[in-house]
Amino acid sequence: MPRYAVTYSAMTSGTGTADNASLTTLQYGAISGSSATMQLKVNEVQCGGEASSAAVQAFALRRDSTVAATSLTSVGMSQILIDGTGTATATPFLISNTSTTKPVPLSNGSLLRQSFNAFGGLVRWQARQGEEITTIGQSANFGELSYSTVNVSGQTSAQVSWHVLLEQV
Amino acid sequence: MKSLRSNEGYFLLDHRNSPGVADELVVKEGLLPGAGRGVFESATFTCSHCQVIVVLNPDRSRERGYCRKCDHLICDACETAKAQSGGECRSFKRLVDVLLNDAAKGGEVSQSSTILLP
Repeated sequence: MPRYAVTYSAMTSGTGTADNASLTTLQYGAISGSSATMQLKVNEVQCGGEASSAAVQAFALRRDSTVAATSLTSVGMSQILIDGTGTATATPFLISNTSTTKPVPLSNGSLLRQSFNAFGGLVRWQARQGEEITTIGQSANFGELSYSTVNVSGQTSAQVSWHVLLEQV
Repeated sequence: MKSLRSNEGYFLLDHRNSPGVADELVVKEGLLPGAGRGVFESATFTCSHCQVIVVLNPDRSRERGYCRKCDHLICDACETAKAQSGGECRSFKRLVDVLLNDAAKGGEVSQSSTILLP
């Protein structure tokens, strides 16, 4: 099955969004399936800071209780086939950072927390094969993941770039 | 024979060229004091019931939650839920199977489940 890198360069992280609240345009990246049986297996999440002064970031990969819908666009985001000799699927998964209906992170739906200082810091998580974070389908609560900052004390908006590696099944 | 350690992932927090993050925040997120400075590396596991990523604390003395039925470590919240349900295994892989079976039968795919969210 094809493996992809989802990247978002020079994102402004914002001041963070609580669970159960709509994410802010261009301050998140949403990844979701495009059919009822599609699975996405996330095996790496990395985020690096590009701030010119200290700025604590509290990122989280969360499941969404409302998935992005209508007019999905992905400014600055891309999904790239990792294996140059591989073949992309006819119906790839969806990525977005802007939509009419914005993703809403599920209450207590944080799967991975990544806090770091965007002034020279970076954070990475890698899964062992078979231990990936999985989405199933295309609807809430298990069909979409969003990566964005959480509104904790100390979270400061800054520029970051991140990538997610995943396999589409 | 496969060991539980063979399921471990990897977590890196690199602040070699950064002022880092205060202990207050990293401890709140389940990491060790001092993890927000310099380089912090640790093993992780994926809870097989809710899929939350747990960064392992080498100083922890309490036993980790474990589900014999799916032969995986589980997070503290899922361990509590398992104990309350009399040892029921609510693995995420089982949920995926149920949803795929529903879809294959042409039925409505319901995403409400008995899985415990983290």
